[in-house]
Amino acid sequence: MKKYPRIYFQILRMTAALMMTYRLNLLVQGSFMIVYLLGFLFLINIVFSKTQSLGGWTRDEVILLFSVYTLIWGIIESFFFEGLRQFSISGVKNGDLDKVLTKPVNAQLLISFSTPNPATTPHEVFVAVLFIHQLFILHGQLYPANVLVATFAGFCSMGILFFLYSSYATLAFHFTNSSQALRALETISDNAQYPTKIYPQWLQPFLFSLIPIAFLGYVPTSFLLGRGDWKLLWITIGVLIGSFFINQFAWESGLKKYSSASS
Amino acid sequence: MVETIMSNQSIISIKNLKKYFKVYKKKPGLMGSIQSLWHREYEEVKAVDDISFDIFPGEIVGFIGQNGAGKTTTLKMLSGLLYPSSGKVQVLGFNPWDRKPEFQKQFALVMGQKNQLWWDLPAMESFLLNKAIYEVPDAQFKKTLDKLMDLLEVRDIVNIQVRKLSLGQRMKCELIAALLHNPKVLFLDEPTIGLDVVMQKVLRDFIKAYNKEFGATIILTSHYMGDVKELCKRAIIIDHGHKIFDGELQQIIDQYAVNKILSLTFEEEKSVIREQLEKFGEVKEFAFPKATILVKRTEAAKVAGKLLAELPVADVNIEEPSIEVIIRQVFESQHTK
Ligand SMILES: Nc1ncnc2c1ncn2[C@@H]1O[C@H](COP(=O)(O)OP(=O)(O)OP(=O)(O)O)[C@@H](O)[C@H]1O
Ligand SMILES: [Mg+2]
Repeated sequence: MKKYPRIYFQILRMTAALMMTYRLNLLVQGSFMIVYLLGFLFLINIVFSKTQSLGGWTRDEVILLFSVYTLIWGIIESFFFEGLRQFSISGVKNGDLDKVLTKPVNAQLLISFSTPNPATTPHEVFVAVLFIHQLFILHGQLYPANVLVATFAGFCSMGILFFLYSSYATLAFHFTNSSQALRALETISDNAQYPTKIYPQWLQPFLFSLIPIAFLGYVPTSFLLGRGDWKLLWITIGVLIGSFFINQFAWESGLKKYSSASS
Repeated sequence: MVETIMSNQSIISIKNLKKYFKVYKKKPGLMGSIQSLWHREYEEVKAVDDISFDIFPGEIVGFIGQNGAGKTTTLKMLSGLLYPSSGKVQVLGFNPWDRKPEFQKQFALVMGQKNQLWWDLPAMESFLLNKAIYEVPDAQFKKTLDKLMDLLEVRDIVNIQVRKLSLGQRMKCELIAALLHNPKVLFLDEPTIGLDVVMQKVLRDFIKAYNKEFGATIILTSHYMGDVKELCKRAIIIDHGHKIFDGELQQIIDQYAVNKILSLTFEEEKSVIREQLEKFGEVKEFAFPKATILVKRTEAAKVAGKLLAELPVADVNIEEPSIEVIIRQVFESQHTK
């Protein structure tokens, strides 16, 4: 099946061309994000000047968690989010979906892939450097088996995030203002940059299920530091499979609704 | 396989097709909004109400009707974008809303009001994306693209950012993007909307040429009489979701377009009064120095000659009645029968 790689290659080509047109914008956007990143580091340093640990995590561990979360989010964002975001804003309302649905291509895939967002790249590089830097600092705590499991969990997390975001985007089939929901998810997800343990006991189960932001940073980082157990791994896999089916269902029923009353 | 409903060799077949939309009525004002929270009143819009027809390979059929008649809704059902409320549809032997890739590779839907090209990039990039999506082989892509670019004379503009193109140039590129995979069936929903007369003509010629060159079957909707008259032998007229005519276009023109419209402009310094015009035909509008009169189709030329001889006419134009007028007449004649 060479079709989808070809399509994606062409989309990347087009994105690169767009980047050339909007270089300046990108630069501004990129530097804006780096400021945000520095702001976070500054904040963490203030917090840790007052305390030794946050939910049982040291300063360097929290920074590692932050970099893992930002990397996972950034990778998914630069490949998928913009397409879904635009879909949730105008796909159904303006009938932009029509032009996808008449084509011999999986609509959901084309929408998710259609707009890579290179704006996050400079920021991504910066975070990757931070991540590696933290790994060096914490290398005493790292073991190959843990790294392996953590990598696996990291990929699961990306899957969860993608399916979650993609399911939320289908709200556009049912409500006109659904892009708000995506924005809400983005805001909530920002809380994934802290150890899940700092949240109230009653809230924690939700962070592993309904709003599974624990997976975005906490879970893979826990495995990396050797703090995850098998139970957590099974939950991760379970949530991944669950979110896959939820996403599938959300798109099928959304498209069904669209086909019975689009405009 | 779907039960075959195609009568001999038709390429598109519709039987008792219906599409009802449920739209909810909100009462005005704040109270209305609050009430609608627990009690919503629905109203049924019969967008397409029991339409049947068959279309044969190579035909160009004009699908005409007033605003809201149900044209776009029908085309969307033919393209598999909408499920019908009831009835049967077959296009190229497929059930459109199964959305089978084998089907989708053989047709295209072009909507004049919507665009599929990437706005900030040259159209060429969008062509390449469609090439990948439709899996068009390199050689065929090049050949088709060359031919289409020649027919539309757009060699230079396909490498310019789409947002810098004029409406007409953009429409040309939209058409190319839609036709690169050589569709056998083409649904054109108001392809000439908003274009000037010259550009309309260019697109018409192109559609005609495409039909000839590739033997494509085309359904075309348009509000411009010129489009339909020049392109379509056959016309289907719908009104409020019902089919009210299906047959040779010339037949309705002869039967219903009994009048032509004479648009006159008089010389400013002279004066002409309404009464003077009434002996020539039915005066539709009069606001000196302009007037429009309806005259019998067969006598249009003669009357125009007389007018020029007897009155201080600066300019005269003989026009066909608009599609809307003809539709209204077909509709009225059916209801007085
Ligand atoms: N998604 C929808 N929900 C509710 N009503 C709809 C929807 N789409 C179309 N309609 C209604 O169905 C009727 C037919 O609309 P349609 O767009 O098919 O008309 P049309 O013949 O294409 O008109 P036009 O010449 O203006 O393009 C209209 O009354 C319209 O309001
Ligand atoms: Mg329409």
